[in-house]
Amino acid sequence: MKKVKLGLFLALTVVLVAAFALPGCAPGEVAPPEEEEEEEEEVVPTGPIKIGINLSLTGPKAKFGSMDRNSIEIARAKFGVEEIGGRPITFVIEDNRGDPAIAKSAEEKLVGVDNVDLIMGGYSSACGVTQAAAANDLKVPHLLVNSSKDAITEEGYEWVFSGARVPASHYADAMWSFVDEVLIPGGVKKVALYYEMTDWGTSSAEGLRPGFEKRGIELVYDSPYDSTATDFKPMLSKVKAANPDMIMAVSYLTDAGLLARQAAELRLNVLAYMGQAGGYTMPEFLELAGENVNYVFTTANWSPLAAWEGEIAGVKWTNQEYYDAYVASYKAEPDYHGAQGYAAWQIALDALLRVDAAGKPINRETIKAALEETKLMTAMGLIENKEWTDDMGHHYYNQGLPLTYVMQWQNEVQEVVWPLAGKSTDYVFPVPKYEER
Amino acid sequence: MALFGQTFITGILMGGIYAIIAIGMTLIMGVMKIINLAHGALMMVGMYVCVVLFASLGWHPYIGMLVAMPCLFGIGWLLQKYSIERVFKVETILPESQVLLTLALGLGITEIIRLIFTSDYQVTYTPFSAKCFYAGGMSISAAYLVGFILAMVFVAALHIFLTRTDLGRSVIATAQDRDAATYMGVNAGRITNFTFALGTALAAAGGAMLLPIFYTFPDVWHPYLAKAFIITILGGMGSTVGALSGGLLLGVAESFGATYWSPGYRDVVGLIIFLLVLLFLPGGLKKVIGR
Repeated sequence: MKKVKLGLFLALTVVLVAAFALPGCAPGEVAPPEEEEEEEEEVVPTGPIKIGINLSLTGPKAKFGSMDRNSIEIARAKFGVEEIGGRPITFVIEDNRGDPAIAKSAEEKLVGVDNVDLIMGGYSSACGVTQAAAANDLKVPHLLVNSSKDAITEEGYEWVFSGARVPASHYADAMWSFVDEVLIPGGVKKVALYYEMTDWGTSSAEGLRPGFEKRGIELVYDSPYDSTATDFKPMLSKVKAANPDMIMAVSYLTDAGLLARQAAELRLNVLAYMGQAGGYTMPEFLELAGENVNYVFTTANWSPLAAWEGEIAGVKWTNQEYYDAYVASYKAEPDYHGAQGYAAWQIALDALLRVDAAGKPINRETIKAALEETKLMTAMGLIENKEWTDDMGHHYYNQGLPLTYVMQWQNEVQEVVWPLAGKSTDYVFPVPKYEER
Repeated sequence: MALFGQTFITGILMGGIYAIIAIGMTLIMGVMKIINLAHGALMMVGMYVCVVLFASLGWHPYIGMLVAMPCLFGIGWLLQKYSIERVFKVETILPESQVLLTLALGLGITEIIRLIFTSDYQVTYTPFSAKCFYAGGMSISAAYLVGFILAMVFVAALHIFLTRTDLGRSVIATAQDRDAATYMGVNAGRITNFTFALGTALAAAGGAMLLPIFYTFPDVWHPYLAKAFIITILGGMGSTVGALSGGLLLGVAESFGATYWSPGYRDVVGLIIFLLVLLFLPGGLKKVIGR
């Protein structure tokens, strides 16, 4: 008992000594708030404007993260702004390997060690969740690139901005009018829904279910799956046994490729196979699934065919130019993920230029204030960071809503088929049976 | 009935490929008494050898496998002789430091491959990959079937090699009692090098069989390493028949789990089997089969 008391006494002593010995902890040493504020106003930031980029550049999701980074670099080169107010712009790039824990650490490192003014990043939603929470705690403005889980911008984070990303439950906005005007009149009554089991997939499924139920469409299969699996035939066999009219799939890239291949092997014939963006819009989907991509519909958040254009820093841009520049530089086609990366730099640059034009110092506070006022035409369409509530009851903060499309793979090329006003070709529905192709 | 049959066939065919990947690990674990955590990464290297041959010479992975296996045999021999064996001889604080070494080797190999090939997915998709046979409302993929047949041929050949040849018997003797084998004139060091190299070559063969139905990237090996480990524990260390039974059992269990429980829990099925075997059958199926 004596030992316990002695231990408690020693611990208390250490805590008290530490508390009063630490500089600035003693009550008498706390500076009056007014003086602090005055000092802060006098501080003019010097040195480079540091932009942190926190993306999955290696690991299984590197394809997306690399596309984001490449697109940000293309945007930077396009607008050619290398310095603002005499301060050079530098990028500090961190690879989070698609791991949420590493993504959070990278966010902390960018703030604590590199002292960045703004962070852009987040491909997977799982990473976006930890990055956004860390950025908000550390009070650094964070511009999301892809991570589309609805909850990220529902948390009320004042330092986190959606930028050009589409919230997961709105990926299908264009699809619903397609469902109402084409699929339901065409005989779609039963749907099989399967989705990858991480944040993005489950969040998307939560957004899709009420949409089908509201239209009286029966969900005859509804299940998550592990996107790293090699073999989806057991799941697809069960889907086939449920005899759906339509498949609705939420998939990353590799699983999207395997699902399309194995659905063909099983001759899982439906009136329409609809993917919710993700892997289904990636050019690599064709590589992985071969001719089985044909007739797959996909919701899409972007197309090079969309006639978006504008001017930033005196430089005129068009949507198609970004696509052409990407293909020329990287010998590969970008999809909406890349367009969101391109748009992220458009939004960030616009905010930085507005802060400078207002004669204010460029720091975290002023960038945050500028992002709150964003109203800009980007490669993803018009972006405004606003607080609003959708018809599903999601209440978003700092969230815009880019337009969405329905595309269909035809002759191994993606075509815009909906809305009809923006179509590049006619849709094919119902799709031919596998054995008749 | 078609659903049940499709689930069973898919599980069996996949299980055969799991078995060929795991059989290398079980051999190494049997002889060296260590978990080779580089096994999956070496399988991935074998896949990349096939990818390079496919891209440059147009060789199908089944043909590329004939080159990948000797290549990986050589790499395995060199890794064992010049890295793992050296750590075996050194007294360290950690009794299983060679296991940590294999982990480091696995991660190092992955990053080297990433440096050379980037993280891009590499595909060897050919018209053959899409071929299927249909019967009774079920489909059997030609690539799965050929992979399974090749796996069975490898397992049978390996079993004959281990039980009917002097070199094979030396491997079994070393696995059963290293000291006794040495006293009987077996060069245990050389046999260890050979076993590691053979196990690595078999991993490459498994990787080559996966390619027509899957694709590769530097991190592709993670789930397969876990499955190989589960199969090794399930089948019993050093047992070819145990590894085959374990592979088929895991494949079928995963397949039924995905169909009748949830596709999201397919890996949970494997882990439950792993726990049950550890708790109730510590020696693995080898104890039941008797080999």
